[in-house]
Amino acid sequence: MKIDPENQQVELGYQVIAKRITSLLDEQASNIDAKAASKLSYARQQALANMAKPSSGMSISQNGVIRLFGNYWYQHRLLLTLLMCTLSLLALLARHNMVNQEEAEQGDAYLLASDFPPEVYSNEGFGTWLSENSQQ
Amino acid sequence: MAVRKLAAIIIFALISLLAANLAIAEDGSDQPWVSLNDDQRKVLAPLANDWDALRPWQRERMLEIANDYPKMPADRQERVQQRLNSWSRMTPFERENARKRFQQFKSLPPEKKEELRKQWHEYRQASPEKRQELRTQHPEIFGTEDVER
Repeated sequence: MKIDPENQQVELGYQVIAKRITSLLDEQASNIDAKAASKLSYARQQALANMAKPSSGMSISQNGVIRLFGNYWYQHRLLLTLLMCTLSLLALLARHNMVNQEEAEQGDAYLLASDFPPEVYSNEGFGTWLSENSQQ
Repeated sequence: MAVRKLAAIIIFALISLLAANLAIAEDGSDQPWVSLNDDQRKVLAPLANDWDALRPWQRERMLEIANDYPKMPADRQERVQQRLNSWSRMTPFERENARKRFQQFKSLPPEKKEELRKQWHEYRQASPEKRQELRTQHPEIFGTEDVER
């Protein structure tokens, strides 16, 4: 592959500028007084410590909404667990009440008050007759 | 702190809810005849002599019948009272089968239900000899014993 000499010149120019910037920064950094250096060092440590914190819970990403949700879950996991338990229990009770209501509408009283005596329903042959006729 | 307080309130609410539900579930399962109210005694009168010998779950079922009774028209109420005694003498297995077949009957096509009602109407109007003949011809519908009420 042939390299364009013009592009090569530009690339070398960038490298020179970068080296100058680095040497300037090093030079200025050595002039920083002890107090400012201490403050910068403390800030760096704080930043590193924050980065190292586990993003527990449902967090699967280091940024964006999922991380926010993960942190929220971590901080309120007890509350959210209880909330989920409550919702499950309410759903269970609602279902239980619905089944009870259905049973009430199909209770024994309705069987006894129906068109035929209860002995008819307990007759084995009637069960067969019902099965045959419900399939037709 | 606020989160812990809220959590404590939710736990308390859950326990209260469970306790209330259990109390409802156990209601009326172990009542002697003397503790029934007038309306319940009136409906369950055919069972008065046997009531205290019934098991708690049987009493519960009978009390359910007494609760549904006032919702019915007079002719159906009469049927319930006439059939209570034989119902209480059936075995749990027979009663469970009867409940299943009652539900099965309700899901039959309307014309089939009407056909069966008509056959039973004719059976009720028939003489004892004719009934015997019908039972022999259709034991699957009329059974083998004369049980009509």
